[in-house]
Amino acid sequence: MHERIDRNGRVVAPLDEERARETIRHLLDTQEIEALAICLLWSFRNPAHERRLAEIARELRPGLFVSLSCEIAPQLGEYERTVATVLNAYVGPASVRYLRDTGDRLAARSLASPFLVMQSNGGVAPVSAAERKPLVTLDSGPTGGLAGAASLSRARGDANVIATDMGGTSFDVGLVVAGEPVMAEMRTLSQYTYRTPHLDVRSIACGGGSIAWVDPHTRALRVGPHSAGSSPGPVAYGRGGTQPTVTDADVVLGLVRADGFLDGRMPLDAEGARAAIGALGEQIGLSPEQTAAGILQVNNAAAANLIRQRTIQQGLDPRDFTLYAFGGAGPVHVWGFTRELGVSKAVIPLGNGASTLSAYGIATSDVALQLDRACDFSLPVAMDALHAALAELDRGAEDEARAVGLDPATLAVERSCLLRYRGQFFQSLSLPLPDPSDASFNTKLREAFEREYARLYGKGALVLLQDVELFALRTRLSRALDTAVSADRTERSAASPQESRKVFWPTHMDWIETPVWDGTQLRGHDRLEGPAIVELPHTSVALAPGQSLEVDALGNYVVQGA
Amino acid sequence: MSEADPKDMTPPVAWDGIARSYMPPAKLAIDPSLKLFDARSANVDPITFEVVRNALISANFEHGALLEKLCTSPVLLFGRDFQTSLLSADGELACMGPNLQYFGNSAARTAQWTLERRSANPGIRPGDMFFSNDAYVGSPHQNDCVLLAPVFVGDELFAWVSNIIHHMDVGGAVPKQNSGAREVWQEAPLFPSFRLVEDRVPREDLLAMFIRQSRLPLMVEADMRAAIAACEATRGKIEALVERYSASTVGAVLAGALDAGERMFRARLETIPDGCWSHRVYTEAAVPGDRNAYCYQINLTKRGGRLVVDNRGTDPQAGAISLTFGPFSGAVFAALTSQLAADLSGVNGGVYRCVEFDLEPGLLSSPNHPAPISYTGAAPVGACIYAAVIAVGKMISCSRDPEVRALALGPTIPHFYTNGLEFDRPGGGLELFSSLDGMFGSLGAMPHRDGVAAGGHSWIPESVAPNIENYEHQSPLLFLYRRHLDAGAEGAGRTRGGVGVEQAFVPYGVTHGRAPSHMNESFPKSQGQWGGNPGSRSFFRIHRKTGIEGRLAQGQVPERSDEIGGEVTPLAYKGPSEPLGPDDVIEWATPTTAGWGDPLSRDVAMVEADVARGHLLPEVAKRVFGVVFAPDGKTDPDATATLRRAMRAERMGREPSRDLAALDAQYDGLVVGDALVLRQGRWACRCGEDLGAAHDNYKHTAVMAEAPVQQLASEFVSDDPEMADLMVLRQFLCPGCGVRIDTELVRAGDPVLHDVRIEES
Repeated sequence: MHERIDRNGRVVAPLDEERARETIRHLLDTQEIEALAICLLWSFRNPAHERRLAEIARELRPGLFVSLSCEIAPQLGEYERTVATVLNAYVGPASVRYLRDTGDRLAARSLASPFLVMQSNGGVAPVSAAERKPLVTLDSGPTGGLAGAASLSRARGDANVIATDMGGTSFDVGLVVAGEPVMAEMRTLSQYTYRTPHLDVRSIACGGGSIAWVDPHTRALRVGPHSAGSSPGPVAYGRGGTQPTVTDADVVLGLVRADGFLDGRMPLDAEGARAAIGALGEQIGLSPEQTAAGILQVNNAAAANLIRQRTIQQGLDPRDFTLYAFGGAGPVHVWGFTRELGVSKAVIPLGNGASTLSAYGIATSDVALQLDRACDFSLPVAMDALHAALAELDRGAEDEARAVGLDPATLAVERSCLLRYRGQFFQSLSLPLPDPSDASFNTKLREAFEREYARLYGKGALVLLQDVELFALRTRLSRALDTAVSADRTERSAASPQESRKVFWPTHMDWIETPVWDGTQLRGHDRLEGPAIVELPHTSVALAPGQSLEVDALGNYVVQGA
Repeated sequence: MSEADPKDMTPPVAWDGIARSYMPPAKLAIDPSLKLFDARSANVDPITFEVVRNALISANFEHGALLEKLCTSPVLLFGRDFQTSLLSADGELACMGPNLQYFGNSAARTAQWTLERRSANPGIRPGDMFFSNDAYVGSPHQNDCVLLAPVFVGDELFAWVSNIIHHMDVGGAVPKQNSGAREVWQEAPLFPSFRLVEDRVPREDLLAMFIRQSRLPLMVEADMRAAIAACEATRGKIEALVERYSASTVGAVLAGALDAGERMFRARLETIPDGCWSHRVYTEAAVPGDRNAYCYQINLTKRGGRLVVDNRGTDPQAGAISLTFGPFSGAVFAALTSQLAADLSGVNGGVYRCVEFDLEPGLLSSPNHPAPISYTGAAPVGACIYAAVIAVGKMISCSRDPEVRALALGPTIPHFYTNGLEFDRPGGGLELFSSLDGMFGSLGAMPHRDGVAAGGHSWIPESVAPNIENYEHQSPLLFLYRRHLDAGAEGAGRTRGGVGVEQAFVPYGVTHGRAPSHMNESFPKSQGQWGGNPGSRSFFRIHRKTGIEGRLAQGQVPERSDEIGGEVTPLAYKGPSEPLGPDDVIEWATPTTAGWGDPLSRDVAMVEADVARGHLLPEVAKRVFGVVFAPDGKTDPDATATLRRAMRAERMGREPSRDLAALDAQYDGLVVGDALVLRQGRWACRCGEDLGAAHDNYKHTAVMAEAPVQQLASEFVSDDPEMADLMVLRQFLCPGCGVRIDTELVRAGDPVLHDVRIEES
C-alpha cells in the first residue's frame, strides 16, 4: 500500500486510493479470499488509512470479513499487531458462521436467556461482540477453569489460589491473587506472538498421557514431553498404546482402580500397565511400584516447578496459596502437588465437578468488555492530555457497549493502565488507575509502579532516573451474572467406605491398606482421613496418609495436611 | 600449547589473560583459603536425578526470561545478545541458555580467571558478585559484560550463576565499537574481574565508575541493575534447591549431567573416522580504508572421542579484526553443539570437555595484547562461527551414521551485519541507532532441506528483529520498506540457502547525522558447502538528492531499490563516516546464505515449486539451475537434461565422459558429502571416476575451474570490482561426470586447501 503515517500519527504519504483499490481488486480476483486482514504502520495512532482501506474492500466485496489492526490490537509493534489481526481474520468467518448458527438453533429451542460467549480475558460477552472480534474467544476454554476457580475462591474466601488443571496431555496453571485472576498481555500461539489481555494460563506437557522413558545418556527416568494422548493413550486403555504413561503409573500404584475408571464404563488393562512399567523399571533396576512412584515424583516435580515459576515470578510464595486441583487427572495427584510445594490446603472444586470446572467457570463469569487505548505518556503525566485520552477511551467503550446491545449505565467501570520503564518492550505492569481528579495522581502512580516493580524484581532493579512510561489505558465494563453455586449441601451423610484395597503410596514407598469411598454419597461437612481414595464418576481423589478431606457447604472437597 | 613463533624475538608470554587471552592451566591455582565443594562421591537415584536436573535447567532458562523482561536495550530485548549459565565450583560450564551461543565459554573462562586471581585478594565470599568485561580474560568484547555470582554451601564454594549481557555503549573513542582502532587503548576500557556486589548489595561507587564511561548512561544503568537482579534471583533458586536436596545431590546431578553429555558427544564422534577437516573464510579491510582481504582458518583434528582445534593458516593479527580466546572458542563450541549436541538442552559442558585448543599466538584468532577487539561481534566472530560450522559440517559429512550426517546445519551468515548511525538531536545531544535487522539472518542450505528465508541464526536461536515501530519510536527514522531479497544465483545449490532481507529508510525529524559504521561488502564471504554457490553480499548504500519528502507527500512510497532514485556514490566496505541528511535514503541488506551441493543437481520438482510460489523467475531457474520451462509453466525434462549436461561441459571445458550418479545410489565405501566416496584407500566420485589416493587431496585430481567470483553470475558483480577481484571462486569438478564436488572462495593465489584428510581407509 502506498501510504505512510509517522510515529505521531501524522500523514507523511497520503493513501493512494486508486492504487489501493487496484491492489485489493487484484487480490480478490486472483485469490480465494474469505477474510482480509489490514495492518499499517502506526495505525493505532491514526487509523484513517486502515479504515479507508476497509471501506474500499467492502465496496469491492460487500460482506467481506475485514479485520483491522487499529481495532483488534491497537498497540505499538506491527508484528504483534499483524499476528493478532491475521489470527482474527483467520478464525473470523468460521466463528461468525458457527456463532450465528448456534444462536439460531438455541433460539429455535426457545432459550430464554441471552447467548453469551466466553472470552480469553475472563468475561463473557454477547455474541455480537464475539462476532466483531472473534480473536477474544481464542483459547478461552482453559481460561474457563481459572475463571471458575476465581469464582469459587471468592465464595469460599480463599484469597490466593493456584489453579491447576491436569488432563490427558497437559498441565495448566493460573493464579488468583486477592480474589482476582492474574492476567497477562503477551501470548504465543504456535510460533506467533501477539498482545491481548488474557487470563494468564500456562501449560507444560505433563498430563496423564505423558510418556515415561529412560534417558539413554543420563540413565535417569524422564516423563514427557511426548504424550500418548487419548489415542492410543496409556497402555492401560488397551487401545494399542505400548509406552508407559502417568496414568499407567496410577493404575500400578492402585490410585486408580482398573474396573472403576469413568464409573466402570471403561475397564483398564492393569496387567498391561504393570508389564510396561515393569519393563521400564528393569532398565534402571527398579521394581514396577518403585518405577511407578518415580514417574509420579518426576511428574509432580515438573508440575511444581511450573507453579513455583508462576508464583515466584509474581513475587509471591506458593506456600501462601490454596491449591485448586481440577481436570480429570488433577484430583488423583493433588497429594503430590501439595507435598512438593509445601502447600497446606488444597481444594477439589465442586468434587465431581472438578473434571468440568472450565464449563462452570464460563457459566459464572461476568459479562465483560475490555478496551485499550495506546498512549505515550511519561511520568509525571500531563493531566490535560490524560483527561482527553480517558474521555476518548470512555466514549469508545460506551459506543462498543451499545453496539453489542449493552446499556453502558448498567455496567461497572474499572480503569487500569500499563506501565514500564521507557525502552522496555516485553515488560508491562498493569496497575489500577488512580483517580485522575486527585491532585496527587502522579505521585500515587509513580509510587505504585515502584512498589510493584521492587516487589517483583527487587529494590536494586529500580532505575531512579529512567523515565517511566504509561503506554496504554484500559477500561473494563462488566456486569455480574448471578449464576454461581449456592450453599445447599449442609446435611452430613452417614456414608462409610465401601471397601478397602492396597495402594502403593509413593509417600511411604509401601503398600498400605486404603479405604475407598463412593464420592457420590458424600455431603457437606463430611470429613474423612487419609489414606483414602474417593471415587467419583469422572475422577478419583487420592488422599495420602496424614491428609484429611472435608466437604464444604458448596460441595468442594477441602484437603488439609501435606 | 605450542611455543611462540621462533621468528618472534620477544620473550615468550603466557596465556594469562593479560599479555594474551587467558587459557586455564590443567590445574587452577586457587588460594587455599577458598574451599571448593567436592560432589564426586554422591550417588543419586534416577528419579531424584531427573527432578534436580530439570530444576537446574529451568532455573537457568528463567534467568534469561527475566533478563529479557527487565532490560531496556533493544540489543538485549530483541537480539537476545546475552547468555545465562550455571558453572561448577571450579568454573566448568554446566548448562547455558538458548541465547547467544558463542558466549558459552566466556563465563567459564572469566570464573576460572577470577578463581586464580581474586581468591586471595579481595577473596570470593557468599553474597559477592564479580564483574568483568576484559576480553583477554574471557568476555567477547568490552560491551559484553560478565557477571558472576558465587553460590556457597556453608563456607565452601558450590557453583557459579552467571549472565553476560551486551551493553550498547561502554565508552571509548567512538560510540559502541571502534572498527578503526589500531590498539586497545582506542576502545572502551577493559575492566578485569572485580567485586561489584558485596553482601548481595551493589557497590554504588563501582557501578557508577562503569556507568560513567558510557554515552548511554541511563540505558547502561537500567541494564546493569536488571543483570544484577536476575543473577541474584537465580542464585536464590540454586540455594533453595541445595537447601532442599542437599549440596551433594545437586552437585552430583551437575556432574552426572556433564558426564552424560560427554558420553553422548563422544558416541557421535566415534561414528566418524579419525581425520582432520579445515575451512577458511575471509573478511576485508582490517581498518577503514584498508584494501586487503584477511583469512581465518579453523582446523579440527579428531582422534577417537577427542577433538583438537587449531588456527594455523589464519593471517597474523591486524587492524581491528582480531578476536580473543573467549569468543573464538565460543564460536567453535557453538558450531559443535548446534550441530552435534542440540538435544542436550544447553547442558553443553560435557562437549567442552572433549575439545582441546592448540592455538598459534599472534594470529587474528589468537592476538597478543594490545590488539583491539571491540569489533569482534561484527565480523571476526561471525566469520569464525561460519568457518567452524562448515569445518564441522565437513567432518559430520564423513560419519558412517546417516542420522549423524543429517545433523549438519549448512552455511551460516559469515558476519553479523549491522550499521550504526548517529543523529544530532535538535535540542543538542546525540541519538544513536544500531540496526538489529541482522537478526533476520537466514538459515543456510541443509543436507536434506532448503534454508529458511529470514530464518534467524542457528547460533542465537531466540533472537528476533525489532518492529519498525520500535525503531521509529526510539530513533529519528522513517522506513520505506523491508522485504525479502530476490532469489537468484546467490545461495543456489542442490538445496538452497534462505534469502536475506533488504530495506530502505530515511532520517526523519533531524537535519544532521552520520553513518560512522556500515558494511558495504565488496565480495561475498560465504562459500557454499559441498559445491553450493556462495551467499550474497551485504550492501549499504546512501541515495542522495532523492527528493523523498516531496515524493512521499504525493503518495509515492518506493518499494524497491530501483524506485528510490537520487544519486548513489559507491561506499567502501567500512567507513569513513558518511554525512546524512533528510534527503538521503539509506538502503541496506543482510545477505542470503550459501547453498549446499551442485545447483545443477537440484531436484527439478523443487525448482518448479520455487517458480510456482513466485520465489524464482523462470529465466533465473534456467540460468542458475539449468531447468527449462515450457510456455505452459511446466518444466521440460528433455530440454533440462540437455541443458544441464551442456552447462557441466561448459564449466569443465570438455564433454563429460560419465553420467551423473543417482542421488540415492548405494555404495560399499564411505560416502563423503554429496559427491565423494572413499573406498579401498582411494577417493572416487559417486559416478565411479577415480580421484586419487585417500591420503592425497582429491582436489588435485579433480578439474579445477578458477575465475574471479564476480564472473560466476551477474548477481556477484560488485560495487567495488577491484576489491572483489581479490577473491576467486575455485570449482572442483569431477573429471568424469562434471558434477561440482566442492568450491573454494579464496584470496587469489592462496594454496588449494587440503580440507578433508581421513586417517583410516
